[in-house]
Amino acid sequence: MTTLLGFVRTVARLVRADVTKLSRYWVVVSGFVAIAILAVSGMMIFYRIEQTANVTADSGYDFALSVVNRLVDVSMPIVYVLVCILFAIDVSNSTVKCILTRPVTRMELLVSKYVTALGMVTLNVALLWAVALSGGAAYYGLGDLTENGYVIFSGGYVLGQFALGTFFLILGFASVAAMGVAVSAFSSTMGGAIIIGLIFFFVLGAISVIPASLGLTVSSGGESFLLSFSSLSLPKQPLVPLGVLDDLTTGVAIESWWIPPIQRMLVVCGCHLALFFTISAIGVRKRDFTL
Amino acid sequence: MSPAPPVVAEHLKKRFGSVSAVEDLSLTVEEGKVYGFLGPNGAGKTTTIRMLLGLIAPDGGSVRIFGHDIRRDFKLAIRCVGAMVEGPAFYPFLTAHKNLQLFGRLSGGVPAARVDEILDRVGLLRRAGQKVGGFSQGMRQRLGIALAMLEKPRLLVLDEPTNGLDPQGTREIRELLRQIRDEGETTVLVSSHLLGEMERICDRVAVISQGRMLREGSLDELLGADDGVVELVVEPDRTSAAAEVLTRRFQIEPRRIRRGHLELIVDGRAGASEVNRVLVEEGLAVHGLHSRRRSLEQVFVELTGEVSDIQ
Ligand SMILES: Nc1ncnc2c1ncn2[C@@H]1O[C@H](COP(=O)(O)OP(=O)(O)O)[C@@H](O)[C@H]1O
Ligand SMILES: [Mg+2]
Repeated sequence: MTTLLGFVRTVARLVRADVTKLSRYWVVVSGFVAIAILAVSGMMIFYRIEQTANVTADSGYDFALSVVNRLVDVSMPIVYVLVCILFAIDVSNSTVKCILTRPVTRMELLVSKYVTALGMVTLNVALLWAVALSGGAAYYGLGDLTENGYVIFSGGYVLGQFALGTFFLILGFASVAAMGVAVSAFSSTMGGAIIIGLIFFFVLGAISVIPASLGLTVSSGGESFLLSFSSLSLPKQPLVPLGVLDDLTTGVAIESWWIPPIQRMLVVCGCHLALFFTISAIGVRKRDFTL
Repeated sequence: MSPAPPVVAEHLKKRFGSVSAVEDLSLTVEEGKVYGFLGPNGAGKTTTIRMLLGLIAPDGGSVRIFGHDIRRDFKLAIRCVGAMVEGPAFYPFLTAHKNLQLFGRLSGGVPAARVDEILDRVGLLRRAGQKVGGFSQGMRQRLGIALAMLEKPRLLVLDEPTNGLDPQGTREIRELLRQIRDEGETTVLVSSHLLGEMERICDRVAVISQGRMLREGSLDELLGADDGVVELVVEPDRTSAAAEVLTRRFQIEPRRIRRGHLELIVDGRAGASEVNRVLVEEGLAVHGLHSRRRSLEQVFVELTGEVSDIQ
């Protein structure tokens, strides 16, 4: 018990140190600035398109959901690249030896990188929701969901369901981020980590090994379809949690989140996480880190 | 029970592929001493230090830091240690102050005042707010030492702290180490490939080469090992006359003769004063007669029979 507490405390310290250093590192800062710009401009463009096509969203929630649905796949590669440098930043600056000569074990260091990666994924999704919901509020208003004057769902209920969907979405993306940390754990330079990481990202995306739909969702003539980043068109695992939310804004209540597609996604993502964690743990244990 | 010594390493071994970096190396560092770990480049100093600090696992042998096994009780052991291994390492995009604070956080946090204090100690307080990316080699080196000393460790391990410094910088670091020694609260293990540079501040030294310990002992033991070597200085044109007197009166053949300088072995100090008296008696002016301590460099050359690689 005390060892577990010590483990958690050290990981928390490492994460805090990571946040301090990453928030001052221009690559990471520009990455998130890029995501913010992407979110705002994407949201505005999407509104403009809706206006010209004379389709209006049913509500601010509906609008926000479509915005997030479209942008989350575009922002994910940016976050992924930032995750790829998490370990490499310490190895390339040799600071890893300063960390490991403090009361910090290699396993604590590795786990802290996973926690930081999860934080970055969460920040990304939160940023998109913040922008999308602000847009929804500005263009359509965010009150209770009504139809013909009757309240179907309260605003709180809708936001709660959005939060649940986001939670599952983050779990999906976390397993992609885990791949980034694993690549990073084997890299010595940041450039190498990013290049190898992106190769893995697109190759594994192409053969549908990584779970999220890594592509651009576009709609045309009322049908929305996925423009995959990869050219191999093997069946894709769609963004299940956002798919579940799709009908919510049209008045269909969500009876349960514990449905087979979500369960399948969790199993797949859990396996990915376990696999990538094991690989990176072996790498971090065996590596010499002094080059 | 006497307190456990800062470092006890026994029979350390490390191979990298076919290269044997360290072979059966044992050493003990006593509390409150400055222990010099000397040897040419590639001797295995850094590899040994990395094993001492648990950065790499030895292929054989054990390390105890203040009695804690570095592999089994890593955290307990490492809490007592501040180290700079193979050059300083920092985040170039953070300021000197932020870097120290960041690393201090890993063991629970260090007050900002302590960071300033240690920066002042190494003469970097004015640069505290500057990014480390713009620091010179010497400044980084000093910041590395500051980081090692940040949490007031009982054992300070510095791997080649003067590497890449100019003579002025080297002097400063030597002065700093001397201060630490005089304060007597910290044990220092310092490695260097510049044999001569460290001999003035070390209480004990270990000389290693090719992963093996060649000699270990106090400086007196090492440098005074051939008591009786005396250098005699006479008038340059009376050199051969002096040599002749030495041979005739003492049956001593000078080991080496240069114009005005003779190197000879006498039996203790009485012998030296006797030599002096006889030479004056024979009408030779003695300009100097002093026992000549060898330098670490010479000890090293004698031990290895090699001159290469030492500066
Ligand atoms: N990570 C490593 N991989 C392979 N060989 C290494 C490694 N580290 C050190 N060596 C070898 O071990 C020997 C000792 O190196 P080192 O301990 O760095 O010497 P020193 O610090 O005394 O200059 C050298 O021959 C070096 O090439
Ligand atoms: Mg070295």
